Formats: sequence, C-alpha cells, structure tokens
Amino acid sequence: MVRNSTQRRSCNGQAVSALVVLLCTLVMAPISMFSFEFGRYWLAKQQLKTCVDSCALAGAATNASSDQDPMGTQLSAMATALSIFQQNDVIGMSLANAAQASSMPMSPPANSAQLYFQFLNPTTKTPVALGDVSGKIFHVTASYGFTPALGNFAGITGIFPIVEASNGGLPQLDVILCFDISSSMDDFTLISAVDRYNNGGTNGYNVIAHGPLYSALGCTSATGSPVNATFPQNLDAGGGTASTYKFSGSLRGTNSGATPTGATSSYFTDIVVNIDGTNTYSTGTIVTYNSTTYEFPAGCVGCLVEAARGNLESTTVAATAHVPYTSWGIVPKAGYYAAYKQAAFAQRHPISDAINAATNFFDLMNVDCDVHFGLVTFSSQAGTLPTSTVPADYSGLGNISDNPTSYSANAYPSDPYNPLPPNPTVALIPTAGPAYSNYSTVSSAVQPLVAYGGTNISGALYQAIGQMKTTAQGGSGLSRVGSTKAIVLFTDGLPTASSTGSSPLQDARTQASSAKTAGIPIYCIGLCLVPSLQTSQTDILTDTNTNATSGGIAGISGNGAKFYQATQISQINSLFQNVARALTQLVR
Amino acid sequence: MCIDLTLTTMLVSALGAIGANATVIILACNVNDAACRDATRAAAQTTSSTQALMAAQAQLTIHSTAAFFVSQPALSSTNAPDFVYNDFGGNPPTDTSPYVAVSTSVNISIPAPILFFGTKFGSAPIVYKKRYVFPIIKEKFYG
Repeated sequence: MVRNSTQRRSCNGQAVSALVVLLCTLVMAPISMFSFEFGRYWLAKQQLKTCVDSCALAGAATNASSDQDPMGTQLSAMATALSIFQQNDVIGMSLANAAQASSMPMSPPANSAQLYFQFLNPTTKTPVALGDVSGKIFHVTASYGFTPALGNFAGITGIFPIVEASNGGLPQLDVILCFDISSSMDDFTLISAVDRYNNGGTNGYNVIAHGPLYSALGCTSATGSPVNATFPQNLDAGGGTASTYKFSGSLRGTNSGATPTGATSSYFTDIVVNIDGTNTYSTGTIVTYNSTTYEFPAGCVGCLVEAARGNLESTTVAATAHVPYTSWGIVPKAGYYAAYKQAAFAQRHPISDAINAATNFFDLMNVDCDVHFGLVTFSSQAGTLPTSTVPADYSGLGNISDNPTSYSANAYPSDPYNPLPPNPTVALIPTAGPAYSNYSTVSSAVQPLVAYGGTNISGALYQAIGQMKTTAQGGSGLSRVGSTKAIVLFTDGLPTASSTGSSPLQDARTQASSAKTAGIPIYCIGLCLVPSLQTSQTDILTDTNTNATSGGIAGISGNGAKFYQATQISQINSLFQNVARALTQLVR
Repeated sequence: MCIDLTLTTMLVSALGAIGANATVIILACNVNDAACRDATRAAAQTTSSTQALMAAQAQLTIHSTAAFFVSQPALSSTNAPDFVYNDFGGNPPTDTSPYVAVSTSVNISIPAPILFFGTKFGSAPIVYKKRYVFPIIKEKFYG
C-alpha cells in the first residue's frame, strides 16, 4: 500500500511539474516577451514623437521667419527639419538615414524612418500646395520601421511601422506693436545743412554741413538730435547745445530770399534731405509724383531747398523768391514740394526702414497665424486714438521766422504744423475672425509716421498693457480668450519722457513689471547706431537682467520675452523676423 | 516531489527575476527619456550656452525618482557630444537650424541580479543614456 501511495504522489508531482514547465514555456514566457516588446515599442513611439516635435519646430521656425519667396522658404524649412531629425535616434538606432517620402502611407525599412511634410493654412488647417504663401503651419508625419528584438525567438518577424505626427507654427496671437516715432528716428538721414543767402539779386546756397543728420550737425546727445529731416523740422533746436552748427532764424529771413548778402560760416537756414541717397547730393534724381516727373539736378542743393520751401510750385512763385531755376535747367511747376516730400520720406533713416520692417512684420504675421494686431505709436506721448497727432508746439518754433504767421505769407507750405505729425494708436478688436485682425488698419497707419518729439516708452507700454489686460485685471479686455499675447517694443533710443510718473526709466520698468503680472511678454527691438550708446540701451531693454529696479524691460516682463539689438539699419527687418521665430511653437 | 518542486520554483523564480529586471529597465528608460526631452526643450528656449545648461539642469531636478532602483536623471556631461549649444554665431548655414543637444543618463540597479555559471549579472548599476537634439527657437541676434 505504501509503495502504491508513493508511486501515485510521484506521478502527481511529475504532472504538476510538467504543467508548470508547460505554463512557463507556453504562457508566461510569451507574455513576458510580449510585455518587453510592448515596452520597447512604447518607448520607441515616445522617442519618435519627441523627434518629430523637434523636426516640426525646426521647420516651422524657418518657415515663420520669412514671407519672401514662399517656395524657397518652404523648401528650406523641409531641409532644415530633415537635418534636425537626422541628428536624433530612436531606441538607439540612428536616424541619420531618414529620408523624405513623397506620399502617404510610408513604408520605412527596418530601423529607419521616413518623413512626409505638409504645409497647412493656419485658419482652415487644411494642406496647401507647396509654394502657397498661406502654408504657415508645418505638419510633419514620421514613420519608423520598428522590429521586435526578440521576434526570432517568438517567431514574430517583420516590420511594424510606428507613425507619429506634429504641427509647428505660430499660435493664435494678439500682438501690439509699440513703435517709436521720436525725433531721433531720422537722425541718420543724409542731409545737407544749407545757408541760403541773397547773392546779388538771386539766391546763393552754401552747404555748410552734409551727411547723416546726427553727425553732420555735430550732435553728441545720448538721446539723439531734436532736429528733424522733414517738417516739422524744429530747426531752432540745432543739433543740441553741444552741436557744431546752429540755425539762424534771422538769416533764414523771409522766403523771398531777401536775406543779408554773403554766406555765413557756421549758421544754417535750411536742412534738406539728400533725396538721391548720397552724402553730398552728388548724383541727383528724377521723382515721379502723380504720374508727373520732377527733376532734381545733381549737386543742385538749392533745388532741394527751394522745393522744400515750396518755391518751385510755379515760375511766378520762383521768381518772387529769387530762385535761379533757369541755371539749373528746370521749370517750376505745381507738385515740386510734394515730389520732394515723397522722395525725402523714403530717404529718412532709420524711420523709413523701421516702417518697412514693421509693414513686413504685419505681412509676415498675417499669413503666419490667426493674429490680431494693435499699434501704439509714441514720441513725447503715446497716441490714444487712430487719429491722434502730436501736440502742436508753436512755442518751440522759437525765433524761426517760418512760424505760421510769417510762413503763410511767404509760400507753400503755409504752416509747418499743418498737418500735425500723426501719433496713432489702433486698439485690438476682441471679436474673432480675420475681418477683425486690424491688419489693413495698422499697415496703413504706420506709413505716414514722422519723427518728432521725445521717447515715452512707459506711456506706450501702459496703453498696450491696458488693452491686453482683462477687465478683472483692470484693463480693457481687448484680447481674445485663449490667444497668446505679446507686445513688441521698437525703439531707437532710451526713455526720455513719461506720462505715468516722473522718471522715464523707472516708469518703463514699472510697466514691464505690470506686464509680467498680466502674463504678457514684451519683446524689445533696440536700434542703436551710435556705438557709445549701445550699452545704456541694452541696460534698459535687456532680457538677462530681471531686477525690477535695475533690469531690462524684456527681462522684467519675463514670460519668454527677448531683447534684440541692431547696430545697423539693415538689421531691423531681421530683428522683426526673429520675433516671429521666437513665437513659434508646437500647435494643434 | 522535492526535486520537482525545486525545479519548478527555480524556473518560476528565474522568469520572475527576468520579468522584474526588464520592467525596471523599461521604466528607467521612460523616466530618462522624458527627462532628456524636457531638458533639451528647455535648453532650446535660451539664447546662450550658459543659459541652456542652467535650463537643462533645472528641468532635470523636477524629474525626481524614488532613486531606489533608478537614479535621478543627470546630464551625462557638459562637454560635446553630450552637451552642444551651436547657434552658428547667428549665421547658420543654409538649410541648417541652430541646435542644442543634451544627453542625460540614469543608473539602473536591477532588482534581481542573476547568477549564471558563476558570473553575476546586475551587481553593478546599468547606465542608460539618451541624447536629443532640438532647434534653438529664440535665436540670439548677433548685430
């Protein structure tokens, strides 16, 4: 009985052991292998997603930075994205051999990846053709050929594609541009400072200084020259107290040219823009205005002076003003003043370059994303309405004889303060939809801007922040719900005026702190063409110092804001593009 | 019966140990992967190498682990190729993006070291390393 019993237990034990071995072999081992492979697969999927995100960001940043040559930009975006993707790896497998696919679905080789790029319209989120300017969301689809590590043991062979996708671009954005129109904004206009005098019956013109306005007048002020290249010129301010050359109101005299005879050495009566873009007005130019051509002969600065004074509007006016136009080979006619003004506006630096850059920025952002624009221009004060103008300052004309009472009796233009320089502010519109983006309004509002007055940065920021703050935060609540907010501050100098306190510098920092509290980054673009001033401008605009009492506006405002400084006029456009690039992110 | 039980227990234990080790390794890889991704993304939002390094390190500190089987993720090193900040001096070549590369690693102590013919696998920590490359978006402008 005992032997029989022992034999039965032994058989049971063997059976249980065999069952366990069978269970381990056929169930537990496959489950373990499957779990391991699933873990690897999941890890590969996560890593591929990160690689695709990186790729989408690289392409979107390239695409967001330019609206010139859409086809070239988009091709460059794809190449850049592929280049970044190839530097990554998935579960230890290099993606250096990743290739661009021409269609979907993709069939990548084992342990390799393929990419398919598309450009989407940011409003409709639908694909557009390559080269279409509205293709501003960069959509990347990646497929990776996953192979199981233990597949051979389990008899599972083959390639299991992992597919991930990502969108890069700009988010829904509410952006306000604070644009500096202070008098220093035309300090690098090439001008001629002229002493206009009576030369035995006709006028003579002695050029006593020429070149960039700031240096030609011998200005050394850190805040730039208060003199402007175009009306209102503020001539009696000269180049500032330390300037080499001074304006003489008495020598300017009446418009007839009946001034004291003989040239003076260091006093000027007129400042004109060298509308041919040369230092000495050496090449001359022909201007087309209202389909009529107006000749401004080479080297003939007198022609610029008389056109700017309005003395070339007719032969009668010219003769009364003793203009020697026959010796210049021209015939006075209506429109000379307007033609000069049009040409002079295009040659004002850096304001005309900044206007072009701002216009390009509006164009770029308008096609980049669902954006609503605001604009706040500022000189000694920030504008409050689209129709705001700088305040008339007739007392500032001082001893200039071209004040309204005498000027109007002389010739056209009758009043240097009529029309007053525009100082517009365009408020955001919170209603959703492209029709409320303000794109056209802000684009046209910047075109006629004229350099004049001081630099009231705190007032401009106060206006902009007030628009973006919610009503609960004490603002106007003009931003759309869910939109990303950003202020772009463009200035060529330092704060010199304030409408929010008594210290222009500290008041600007206070506004930056207010922006930080409201979650609004202030991207600062500083243009500084005078090397000795670059440090002080950096101090007030920098993003590296976040101290509320000594830091920079970008740094204090935080929220990812950056400061970009241009030391050459040609860099302004790139700086605005850098802001667009900096706002790029992954989008849905 | 004893022999059967012993063999069965050994088999189940070995499978269990392999499973536990694999689980910890996969978990560690995921932890390090997420830490490396966040560190690289943060570094890519800066405008200098110093800022990038600080941003990456700050991100790693918030990816804490229990540190029993998996150590705190850390930068593999601050030198190339583990850490690279290349903004090309503000002038990247055509079709090339400024980029930052960050490598992070974790030390994995597997829960069940395995003896195999006298050799002990898993007594020293396993190092898992991951490297990501991201484009620098807030590019510094060199005027």
